[in-house]
Amino acid sequence: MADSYFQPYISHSMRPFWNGLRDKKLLTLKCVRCSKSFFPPFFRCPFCLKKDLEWIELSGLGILYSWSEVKFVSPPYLIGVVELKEKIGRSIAPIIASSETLKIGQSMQAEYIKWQNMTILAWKPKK
Amino acid sequence: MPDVALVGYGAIPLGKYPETTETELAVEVIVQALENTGVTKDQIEGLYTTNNYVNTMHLQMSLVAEAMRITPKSMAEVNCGGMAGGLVLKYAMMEIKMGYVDIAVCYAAEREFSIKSHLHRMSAEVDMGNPCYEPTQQPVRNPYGTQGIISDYAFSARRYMHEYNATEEDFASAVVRDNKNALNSPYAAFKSRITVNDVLNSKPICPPIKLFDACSIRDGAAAIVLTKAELARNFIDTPILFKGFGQYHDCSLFTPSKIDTSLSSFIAVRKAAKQAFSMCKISPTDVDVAELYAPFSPQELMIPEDIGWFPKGGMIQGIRDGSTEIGGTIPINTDGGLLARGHPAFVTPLYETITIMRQLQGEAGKNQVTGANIGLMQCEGGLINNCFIAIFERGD
Repeated sequence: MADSYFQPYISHSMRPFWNGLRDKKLLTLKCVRCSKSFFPPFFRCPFCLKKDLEWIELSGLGILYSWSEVKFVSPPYLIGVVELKEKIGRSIAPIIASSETLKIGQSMQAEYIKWQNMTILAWKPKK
Repeated sequence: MPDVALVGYGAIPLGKYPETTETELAVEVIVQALENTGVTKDQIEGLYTTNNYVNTMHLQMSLVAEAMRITPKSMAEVNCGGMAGGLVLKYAMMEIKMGYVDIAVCYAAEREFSIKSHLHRMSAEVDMGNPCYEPTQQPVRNPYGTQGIISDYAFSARRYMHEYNATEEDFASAVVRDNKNALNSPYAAFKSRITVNDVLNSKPICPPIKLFDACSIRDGAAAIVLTKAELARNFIDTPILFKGFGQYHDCSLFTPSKIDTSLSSFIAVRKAAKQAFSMCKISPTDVDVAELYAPFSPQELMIPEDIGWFPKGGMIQGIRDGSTEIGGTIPINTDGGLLARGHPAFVTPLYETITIMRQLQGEAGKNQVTGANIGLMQCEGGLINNCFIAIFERGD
């Protein structure tokens, strides 16, 4: 699976996100000015465009919105869209599961997987 | 402001053109378009094109102008993902309406197949492997990359199946329709009769999308001549009026950060269609023939719903009962669409427009839609978060 991934480009502003994954935490940004949280994180608030932001930890829970399997690479891997429990956005990431058991709407939890020299986000069915 | 008319076109069959150049293909189709209209090369005041994968300095029109020894007073290369070919027509239309040029040529030439750039795109090497590339929706999409775009369309397809009980057979039926229409197309790259089972048994790529559910990259080139409607009769008996357009961008790259929108429907298509119908003062049912930009078969069902010909989920019945076939209530993709014609992204909207021109001029041969008077061309950029819709009318 991991052979099919690509090295991400990590900008300075997004280092806390990747450090969060390393510590098994799913982080995003909240705007101090307008109090809105948003996902994916960005260096300015997409609503009021101000830069006064703070990192917050998400529950790491969500529901499966849709999924597919990337079959034209070797080895193939499952990939899905998970709607965050906090209802602030959706995450696209690999799914660690068996395709036969996946159902839209099922509860998912974040999974932090080691890949090369870093930790990346995946999702798996909630136990 | 003057009305604008499309008076001629030139195009080559989609296919593989390995031992040629983009400039050669461009000049070939421009000369065809000039010969079909009687416009001389010195009458070209505006020359407009889309981006391609070769001329990264974006000076390809200088090569064409030099090769043809022409001196246009207006040139522009318009880029906006896959809808560049639609926007280039809009650019020419506006130049003519503003009175800066009287005769414009829009062209596009692309050899994506032969230069193998599609292999990079499909493996996402060009974008995701480039350390300077700014990823879409950083950091969520990284490092998975979603391998280009196919999985995104698969998410959309599975969502549509979940919400409306569509089946993979329904998606396959759209492929069968497009391939049937392609049999009589002068341009289509794929001319073999296929069945629903052929599609269902083709190789899985990103389930539920299989190989035959996907468009195929091919080389292509096309050119269209536009002028003021009052001059059009000098060049052709049946000019095609560029009646109006709609355009919209939904603030997402397909997987919206907003969670109040579904992947089974495209806001950009709905809004662009509404604006286009409003500008032309017509309703969706006034359209006689349509060309849609659906790179994968599931979107062949979703886009007609968003344009307004069917309620959401209604296209499932529509594809089953033949409503979108030639002779149906709204014939779609009468030259095979992206799935059977072949798909050079930056040229495709011009091929779509040429199909509409041929239909409205009554020159579509065996695929002629009887009494076609109003045609619609839809194209998109990105992942259907961007949409452009143009409406054309036979100018008798």
